[in-house]
Parts: sequence; C-alpha cells; structure tokens
Amino acid sequence: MLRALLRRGGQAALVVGIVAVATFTLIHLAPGDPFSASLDDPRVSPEVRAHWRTMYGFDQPLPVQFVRWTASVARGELGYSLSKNRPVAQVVRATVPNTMLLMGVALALSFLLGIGIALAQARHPGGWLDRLLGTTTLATWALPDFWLALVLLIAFSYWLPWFPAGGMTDDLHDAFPFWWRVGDRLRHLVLPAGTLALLTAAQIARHQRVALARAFADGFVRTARAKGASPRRVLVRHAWRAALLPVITQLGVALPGLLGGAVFIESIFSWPGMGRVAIDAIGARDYPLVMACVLIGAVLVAVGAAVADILQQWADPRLRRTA
Amino acid sequence: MNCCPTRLVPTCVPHALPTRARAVLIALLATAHLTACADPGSASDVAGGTVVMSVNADVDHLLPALSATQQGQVVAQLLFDRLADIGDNLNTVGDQGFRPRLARSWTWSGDSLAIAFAIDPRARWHDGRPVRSADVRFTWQLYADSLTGAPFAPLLANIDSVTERDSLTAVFWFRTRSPEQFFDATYQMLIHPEHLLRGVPHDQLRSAPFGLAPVGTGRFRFVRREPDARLEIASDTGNYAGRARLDRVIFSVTKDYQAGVNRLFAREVDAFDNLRAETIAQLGAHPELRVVPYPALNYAFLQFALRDGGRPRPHRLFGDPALRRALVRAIDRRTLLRSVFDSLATIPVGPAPRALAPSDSEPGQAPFDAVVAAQLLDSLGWVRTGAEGMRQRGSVPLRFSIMVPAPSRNRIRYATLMQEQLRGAGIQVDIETLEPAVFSDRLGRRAFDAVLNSVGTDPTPITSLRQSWGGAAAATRDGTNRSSYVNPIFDALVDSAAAAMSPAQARAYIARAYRVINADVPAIWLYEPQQVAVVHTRLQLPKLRATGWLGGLADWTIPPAQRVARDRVGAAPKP
Repeated sequence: MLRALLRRGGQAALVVGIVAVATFTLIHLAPGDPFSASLDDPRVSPEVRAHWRTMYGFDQPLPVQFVRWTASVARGELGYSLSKNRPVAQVVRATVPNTMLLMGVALALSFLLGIGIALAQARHPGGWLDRLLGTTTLATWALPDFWLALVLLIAFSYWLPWFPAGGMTDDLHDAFPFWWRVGDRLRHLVLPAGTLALLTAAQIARHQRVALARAFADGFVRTARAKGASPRRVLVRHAWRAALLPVITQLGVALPGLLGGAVFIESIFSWPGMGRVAIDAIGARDYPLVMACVLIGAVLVAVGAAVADILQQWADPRLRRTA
Repeated sequence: MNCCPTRLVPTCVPHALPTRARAVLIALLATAHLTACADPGSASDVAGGTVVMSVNADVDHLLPALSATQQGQVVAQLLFDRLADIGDNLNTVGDQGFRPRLARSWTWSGDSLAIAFAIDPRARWHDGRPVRSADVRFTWQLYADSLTGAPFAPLLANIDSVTERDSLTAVFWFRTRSPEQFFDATYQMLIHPEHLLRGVPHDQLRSAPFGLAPVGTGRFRFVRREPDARLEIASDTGNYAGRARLDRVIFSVTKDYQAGVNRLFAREVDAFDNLRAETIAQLGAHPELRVVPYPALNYAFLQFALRDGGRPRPHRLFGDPALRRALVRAIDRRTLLRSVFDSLATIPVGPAPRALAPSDSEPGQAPFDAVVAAQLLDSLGWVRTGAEGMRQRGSVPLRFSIMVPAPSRNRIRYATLMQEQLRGAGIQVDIETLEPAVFSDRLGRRAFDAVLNSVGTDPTPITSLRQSWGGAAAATRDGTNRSSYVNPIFDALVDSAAAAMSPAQARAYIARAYRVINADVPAIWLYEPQQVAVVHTRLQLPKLRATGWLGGLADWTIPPAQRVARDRVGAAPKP
C-alpha cells in the first residue's frame, strides 16, 4: 500500500511539473504582458512601462524567468500579483477557501442528489419515474453550465427575488447579528452551489443508475432476493454497495469538472473565488498569479485522482491485489 | 457642462427603441432632469444613509501615486485631496476657475517660475495628524522618483522641485514657464502623508501596509476592503472641508455586466454606471430607479496605420493621404452613431471630446458623401471590378482589416456597420475581434491596418494631442502615436497652444491644429459617448462633472423620509 501511495505521489508530482512548464511557456508566448493594459492610456509613457518591465524582471530571457520562478516556488514564495498588487500567496489564501467552500458544498449536494436520483430510478426499473428522471438527468447533463447559471439567476433572483444575485455575503453583512450572517451566507450559496450541484448530480445519477442495473443482474443480488431480503434491503445493502465503485471513480473526475465549472459560475455570481481570479489573471497576463492558479488546480486534480484510486482500492480488494 | 443641460431630455432618447420603451425612457429622462440636480444645500440636507454602488472592477492600488485604473483613481480622489480642484469650466490655463482644497490660497512668484501654496491649517489626516508642507514636498518626491513607478510621473516633468517655506507653505519651482504649471502642480498629484510613508523605500511602496489601509484627508475615510468583492468608505465626520453627507458608501464589485444589472433590479445596489442603451428601456419596470446622464472625456475613432507596422516605409494603403480622404467621405458617421447610440453620443470635431474642443462651431472632418468618395477612389485608380464590384488597383484589392477589442460591444457594432458601408463603396473590410491583451499588444507594436480605438483624456487636450498624434510619440517604437502620424505644422500648433498664456489664444491654436489633422485624416473621429448611470430615486445628486460622476459623491444626500433599511445601519465605527 505504501509503495502504491509513493508511486501515485510520484506520478502526481510529474503531472504537476509538466503542467507548470507547459503553462509557463504558453502564457509567456501569448501576446501581451502584464503592462499591456497601460498601452491604452496615453498618459503612461513608454519609459514608465520599460521601467516596470525591468522592475519585475520581464526584460529577462524566458529561461531565466522560469529558473527564477521555480527557485521562488521552491522557497515557498509564489511571487507578487501585478494585477492585484498583493503577494500571490495572499490572493490564494483569500480566494481558495471561497472556492473550496463552493466546491465542497456543490460536491456534497451533487453526490447526495445524484445517488438519491439513481436509487429512486432503480426501485422501479423501466417505470415512469425511472424514464422521467433518466430523461431529466440526460437533459440537465447536456446543459452548458453558464446557461443554466444565468437561467437560475434570472428565475430566482429577478423574477422570484428569493436569493441574492451575486457575491458571497450581503454588502452590510458585518453589521448584522450572528444568525442573520449565517443565513446570509447560506442564501448566497444556494444559486452558485445549486447550479454546480445540478450539473454534476445529473452526471453522477447517470453513472450510478447504470452501475445499479449491472449490480441487479449479478448473482449475489439474486441470492439476496432468494433468501427473502426486502426490496429496499436488496437495493441499499446489496446492489448499491456493489455499485458504489463507479461513483467513487466519479469523485476524481468530478473535481476537475467542478473546478472548470467554478470559473464560469464564480464570474456569473460574482463569487470571489479562485476561478474568477484565474480568468482575471489570464486576461491581465498576470504571470505569477496564473501560474499559482494552475499549480493549485493541477495539485487539486492530481490529489483528487489519487484519492479516488486509493478509495477504489480500499473498497475493492481485487484492485488492491493487482495494484 | 453639467448633468442636466436644457436640451438633454429631448435629445437623449434612442429613436431605435420601440415606441413604448421610448415613452418610458422619455419619462425617466424627464424625471432625471427634474431631480438629478437637487440643491445639496436644501432643507433635505441631513447627513446619513448608505449607498451601495455596483462597479465592474476593483481598485488596483489604494496608494494614489500607484493607481493607474479609473476605479482606483475614483476611490483615491474620495480619500485624498489635491492642493486645488479644477473648476467646472475645466480650464487648465493659469489658475482661473481652480478652487482651494488643501491649499486655502496660493501666490505666484514675480517671474511665474514658482507658486507658493498656503496649506489650510484646519486640514488633518484621518489619523488626526495635521497636514504640513512637508507632506506636499514628500508627495512630489514620491511621484518623481522612478523607483516608485508612478504611472503618470512624466506629467510632472516641468516641476523642478518642491520646498517648504514654513510648516504650512509649500513652494513649487518650475523648469520653464508654462500655461499649465498650476494644473500640473494640482491636478496630477494627490497629497500623501509623509509621517506614514517616509520610512518605506520607494521601490517597496507597492507592497507597503499603507496600501491596505490608506490614511488620507478626503471627506471620506477608508473603512475596509475585501479584494474583488467590496470596498467600504465612510464619512470623515470631523473633516476640515465638512463631513460627507452620506454615512457610508460601499463599492460592490460585479464584473459581469448582466450580473450587475440583475443586482440593480433586485435592489441589492443603489447605483450603477455605464448602462447600455438596450438596458435603459427595462427601467420602465423599476420606478425606484432613475437615469443620470453625464458627460465624459472619452472619444473613439477609426485609426489608420500610416506606416507599415511602425517601420519607416508607408503603409500599403493608408500611406496615401488621398485614400484616407476618400474613406472619410465614404463613411456615414451620423448613421453609424444613430444605429449604435441614437442620441446618447455625439461625433467629435477633432482628436478630443467636444468638452475640450476649441469652439462649438468647429466644423470637424469632411462630411459623408458617397458620390465624392466614389469619384476620389476612381481618380486614385481604385476601380470596381468583378461581379461583386469590389475595387482594386492593378491586381491589388482595396481590402484591409479593422481591429476591435472583444469586450467592447459598441466598437464591434460600429466595425460591423462600417464593414457594410464600405462594402457598398467597393471596399472589402475584415474585422479582427481580439482579446484585450492581444489587442493592446498589437496596438503597441502597431501591427494593424486600422483599429477602432478609444481614448480617455485629461481636462487638458494638450497631453492627449501630443501623446496620441504628436511627432515625438511617433518616432519611438514604443511611443503612443500608433498611427505614426507626423506633421510638423500640427506639432508646432500644439506646442504654441501649450505655450499660450491665455485660454482664448490656446483655443485658437488648437482650432488650427484640428484643421490640420482633420485634413490629413490619420483617423476618422466616430463618437464620444454620453455616459448613463442609474441611481435609486431616494438619492439626490449635485451637478455632475465631466471629470468623473463620483467627484461630488461627498455631497450626495438621502432625505430622511426616503431612507430604507440599509440607510439606518449607521456610520461605520472608526478603526
């Protein structure tokens, strides 16, 4: 198990390294630099821009810049964000928890909802509920995330003003009592987390439904039925446990999907998270911040995949033997 | 110019809108006309209330010297003060119209090479320390030091030094006599506190703790900032210039336009800037909101590359001034303007907004005339050929690309309409819609045929004329004259305007410079938009100025009878 963990860790480190090199090269090769925006302002002279480039080392050759960046990352320094005018570590510390909160809630909701839908479908395979939920999940899965977000935003904050249209808290959040603040946070979470959860839940429900159908065809389920177990017990204790394996795999797959989705969702709902920061940083050619966002994303995805592998091996002894 | 000129109501209504929406808009604009200019000194003048403003960008830096963005400068000007404020007429020659701010008075030296500013002895920093002439000297040193990296430092190049005559008198010494000496000394610098910044090396100011919790002298003081989410300021109740009449203002960052509009309609915010014409019609369903049109110092133009990628050889098409003169005749600017803005914009008469134009009667560029355009093109050898009737000379087609930035819907619409107009004239146009960083990079390298560009200017047109169209800015590869337009007569006239000691004389030179550049056609002036903000009806605003609609924020009021729940939260406590 330890050897498998070490091997998985090594693979994850390699993936992160390749992603870092590729991103560094591509973002620097893209037209523009962090001071491009000032080109539109005739009051900022070429001398000032040249001075800025020298100050931040952007006048150096690309390999030199890469070595400097790698050395600073090795020292635990992520650099200075030129668009946010703060150390990158501060930006990351301020935004990653917001994204993790959004993704964590969305992930939990999506698994609960997805598994719940699949179980409801599996109780009466081929019945009207199975067909209705199957069609609904397929349609939801096919929806673009930004479109669903905009529809929910218009429906539930404009037509029916039940939830706030954006932000993580009310602008006067701090002026109100504790329980009001808790409620305020939850209200602000509903639409962004709900959008992400709906999309991922549809995917999980489809996978779980297929896995349950396969499990129902297996001999151990027939045996359980023959032994007189109730349909509910057969579903939950026997078939569902066996069908959990693909859902565990989904955990690893859902993480990058949610991260990608968070980029759009955070922009639409003005959620101050890493996804929105990443988009801003790319537009502003804020190299240190882009690199930090990509690094964190790559680490999260690699860790997610590794955790999914480990959970699979824990859940299925056959995989442990072949690992 | 103010927010409610008498002819605004009838002319601001987009004719392109449906009849019902148009009627709604007329009513809204009429209400804006009647209520937007409430006298801040009326009976309703009671301090209090909270305003939440939706803004599409966070501030870049809270140290004014380092701020380069519009939002950063807006907030800086609310927290910090200049020595004197520019007057409503936006005069930049001499000190005519300027109003005392941190300086309660000033004295010119006999040779006009020095100005002594007497600091208002009542002025205090938000931490209670008095403002001293040492702060003024320190501020200039901070701006002028290249290690600071102040974006607008070159605009202070004519200031030789700043000295302290006594603790309340700062003296500015200038290198040369210039009509805009006073403007240079006051407009470009917000005074920074020496006692809080003197120990910080200038190359480390960007990361100094001061930038997280700035201490200024403005009528608002800083309360808190959540980066990319919100920034809160509150009235400085003991301010020497009088407390701000609102208790607090929160700038709530919503980057996506539609999300911002949704927040406005959901009553989460009280004010929203840069409303698009198509959204104005939706305001009919929201009687709690009213529009506030105000002038701005922006103008947009179709800019030609006169040289090939900035190299010495002329551009294959636009190196020929006769072709440019034909194009200005081929583009129907009035139709374009009506289609995109209707009456919410005007056509500039030269390379600056009309607010800075030398006179109202300035003729501008040659008018649209399709017949004359066709004759000019024919005479240049660009003749129609083939089934589609597109023009070519020999085997060279009359074809070029127009570069536009992807986020600018107005510029994309303009480019599309121009493409259609020019197709009718036998000219093939390709539109390149580019991501902002790529757009700026190509613009900087002058790697374009034509670009739909937009520029915001200072109250002085001189800087903008020199930087965008002057010969010196064309000479260097990184210069900001992207057209590479060079005309020594134009440069001489702008220099003469810059040296003229009376506003009338300066205007006369600028008018002549306009005529020169309009005849050369390095660009076709297209539009200067009328900005449209939306505010909650409970807000009463003073007269708005072209230098920024939030300039008078400290005098906004909310009558007590109209206050809503968030107005009663109370002022934020001092940190």
